[in-house]
Amino acid sequence: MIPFEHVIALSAALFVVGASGVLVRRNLLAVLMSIELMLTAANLAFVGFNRAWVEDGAGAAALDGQAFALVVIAVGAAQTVVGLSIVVAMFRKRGSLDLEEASLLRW
Amino acid sequence: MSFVAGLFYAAAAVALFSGLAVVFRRDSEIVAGLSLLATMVAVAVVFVLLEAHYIALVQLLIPAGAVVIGLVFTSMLVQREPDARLRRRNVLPFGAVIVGVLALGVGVHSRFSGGTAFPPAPEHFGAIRALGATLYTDYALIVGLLSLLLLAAIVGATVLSSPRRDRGDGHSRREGGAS
Repeated sequence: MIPFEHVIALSAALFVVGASGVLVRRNLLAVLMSIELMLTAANLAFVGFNRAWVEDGAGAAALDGQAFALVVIAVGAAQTVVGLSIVVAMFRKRGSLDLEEASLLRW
Repeated sequence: MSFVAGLFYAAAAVALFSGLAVVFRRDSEIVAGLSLLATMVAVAVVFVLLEAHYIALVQLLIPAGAVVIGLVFTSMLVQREPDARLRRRNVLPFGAVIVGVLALGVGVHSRFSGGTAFPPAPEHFGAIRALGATLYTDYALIVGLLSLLLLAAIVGATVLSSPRRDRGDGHSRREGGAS
């Protein structure tokens, strides 16, 4: 038996690790990877909650969590495509991916 | 502990440790990308154990297959030096504290309560047919918006990474005209 709480705990742990990566790392690629980690953690929570509440009020099967997991996967793919082209553009322009150097819009 | 539970804890440990390696390894982005691949595969294993088979398949194909491979190839293209700032700061204790607190929470929780078991899954829980019926009836608008989003991402990526049409050129010309 897999305890439901432990699935959610795994999801929370992965999310925290990803969020700390976004905060700590200063490399654009590492930040993208951390965001991907957070999205995966969110997917795990969606599927876990869907598995815990498998029926809607009328007794029919409810697959909304899995549908949202698919949505998250698609949005993550789009985000990575744009992020990678930003990586390429930034590397062309500055020759490095250090986010400390990309401070044009910072006050 | 049953076989399924053992497999779940093994996959969870792999996902957690490779996730930590993604964030806290300092040497190379390629290693981080391959660790991310391990995380994705472990999460796909968890999806299989939760009987969400179609999501597990998609998880292997898109995030693990397409996204991570794209990240690894891009990091090969742009690799220069390791994250210098991260080398200066030692952040590994930070990660150890996170995992320690979470493991302590899980341990204390399972000490005092056995945890809630999942209800038995309906017959077509992870099947593509039922999921497709949900997606194309209840969430048809979202599916349409997603296709628009992916189209916009394709166009945006093409524009952002196209090599020429230097914006600096047009900018300086405009500046030249003004002065």
